Amino acid sequence: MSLKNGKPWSITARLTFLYILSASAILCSIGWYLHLTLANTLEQDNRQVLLQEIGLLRMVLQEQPPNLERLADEQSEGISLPVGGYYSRILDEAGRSLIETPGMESLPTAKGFPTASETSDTNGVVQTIPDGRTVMLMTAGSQTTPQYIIQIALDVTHEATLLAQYQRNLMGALLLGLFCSTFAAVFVARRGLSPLAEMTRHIEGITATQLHEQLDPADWPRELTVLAAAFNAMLARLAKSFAQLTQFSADLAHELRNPINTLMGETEVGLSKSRNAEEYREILESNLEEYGRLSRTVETLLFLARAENTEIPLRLARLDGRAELEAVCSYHEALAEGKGLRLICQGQGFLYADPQLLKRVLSNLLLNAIQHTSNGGEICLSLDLAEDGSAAVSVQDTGCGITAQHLPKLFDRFYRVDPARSEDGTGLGLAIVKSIMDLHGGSVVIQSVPGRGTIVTLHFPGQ
Amino acid sequence: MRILIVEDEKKAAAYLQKGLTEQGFVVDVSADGEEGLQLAHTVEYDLIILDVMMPLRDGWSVLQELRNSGKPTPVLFLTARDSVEDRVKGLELGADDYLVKPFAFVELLARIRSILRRGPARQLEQLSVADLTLDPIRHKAFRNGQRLDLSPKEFALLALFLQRPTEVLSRTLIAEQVWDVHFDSDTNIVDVAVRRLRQKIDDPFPKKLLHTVRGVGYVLEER
Repeated sequence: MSLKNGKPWSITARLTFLYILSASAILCSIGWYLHLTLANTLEQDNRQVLLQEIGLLRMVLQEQPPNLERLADEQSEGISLPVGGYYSRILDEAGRSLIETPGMESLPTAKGFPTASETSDTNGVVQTIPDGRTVMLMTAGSQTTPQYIIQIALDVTHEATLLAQYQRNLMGALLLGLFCSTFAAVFVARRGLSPLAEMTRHIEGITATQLHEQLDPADWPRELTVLAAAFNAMLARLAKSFAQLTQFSADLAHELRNPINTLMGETEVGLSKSRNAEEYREILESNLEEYGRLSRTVETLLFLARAENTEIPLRLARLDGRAELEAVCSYHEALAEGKGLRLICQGQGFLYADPQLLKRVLSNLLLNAIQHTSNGGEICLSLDLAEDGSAAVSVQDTGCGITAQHLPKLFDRFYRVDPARSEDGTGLGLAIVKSIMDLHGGSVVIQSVPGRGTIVTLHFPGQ
Repeated sequence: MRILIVEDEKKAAAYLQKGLTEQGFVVDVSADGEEGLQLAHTVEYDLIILDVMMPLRDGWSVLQELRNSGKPTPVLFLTARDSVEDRVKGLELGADDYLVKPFAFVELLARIRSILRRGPARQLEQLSVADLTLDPIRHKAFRNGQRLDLSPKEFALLALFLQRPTEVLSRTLIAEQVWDVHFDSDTNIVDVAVRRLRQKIDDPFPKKLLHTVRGVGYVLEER
């Protein structure tokens, strides 16, 4: 139920509207029923009076020729009544008036009366005559030979006035009832919706620092428990993201502190006394290296942020997996050889990936492997294809391994297994691996046995 | 060679002017887009370096105005924003290159030289510096007449240095050109590779040719 263009109706308005609608429907039907019953009863009574009188007149007319005196007697009884007097007229076969009650002249003429067939035996015709009175007219045959026609009229003005009065009262009561029920409806709706308002107040009070404050579903009516539970779930998700964000900002600030501290200190010390050109040069060169690190950290963070918003265009291509592995190996070969490590490439086949991002992922993994594998070890890059066209690329080393407690946190930004070794890299390598795999719609799994080595497996979906 | 720098950040403009002047360019500086546009119209420049975010008139609009009036002067954009749309927009408007802040000065130099060099492609010919020679066609390298035994990647690395003698090459550029790796990684892979190349081309000989420029990169030259 909503307005065609604009906001949906408020629930209070909706409930009030429906409540009034149903209340008026019920009240109207009751009123209509009462009115109908009363009108019916009154009409029945009147008809009864008329039929009775017709019966009497018929009896008198049995006597032939008609005894006009008795008829006049009979007729005069009707007009002497204070309320509900009746008038009658007897017509002979030719339609001439035989005898009629005084006052009959203000009623319809003999021809103005309905015919016997129109009124039949049981029904009368109700008419308002020019002087304002309401009468019920009935015509009947005398059931004698010769046949006379009895025209009889009952003054029902009193009943009609009564009925009209009753109708007015009923309408008034009905309107009053509707008026009251409107207030009742608004009150009931407000009252019924009060838990919702209560909940709103409760929710409004929740700030970023109290995200753990939950709504207890037991406190709320059954209709709202589902909402409360959903709201709690949303709060929990928010709290988690918020905590991650806070943690990340803190980590980032810490991460920037180190290089900035070095830069400030080095420059300050350098400026504290006059030095020769060679010394200044040393300082500037060292500074430049730190700037480079800072700049790479910023670049990497931007990359991560963009990857998260999927703003990085993915240039998927069908790549010769073996060639890619070998290209990455050749880039790292010098480094590995320097540490006395052997790089091995295995497997054949094609995979779908962005070539530069694939290089970046593999390079990060290889660097980690080289860093954590001691002299004489070996690092094996292998490619396995599944039947559904997906590809698994794994980087396996014979290094020191990672204890189980670190495994779930490895992909967090700035997380380092050994915090003391912050000189090695940005601490963002695996976070990048994860986000690149997410961009590809793939996954990354790390398995490790301390002392034996680590295997990282990347899954690339097929075309 | 005359270069116009349009950059509102004073420190940045100053160091660019200093660095480029020392490299032998004639450099003019303008601090806002409006003035930059006027200069570009009145003076004949070989290259315009444009910052994107500037007061009065931004880099995009300067470039658009230039191209609309039919000025073909090459333009290199500098910007701190580097969304893909920005890159595409710059190139669509007719920029010749695009550099994202922060960048290494040698990187900028390399890009400037490459824009100014554009034209006839260099022929594959014998490359040499002092007594170091490289024959790209026969895939052989010699020092002092002695054949050098190089791996394919070492050969590619040496060829890169010989194609750009006296030019300082950054690690990023080397990784891009030799290994097709287009991301900065926090490693010394390039240093290790250069050290190994040095062992073969410099160590056995008294005269050293491949020099380190600390914090910047490497340069091959006769000193």
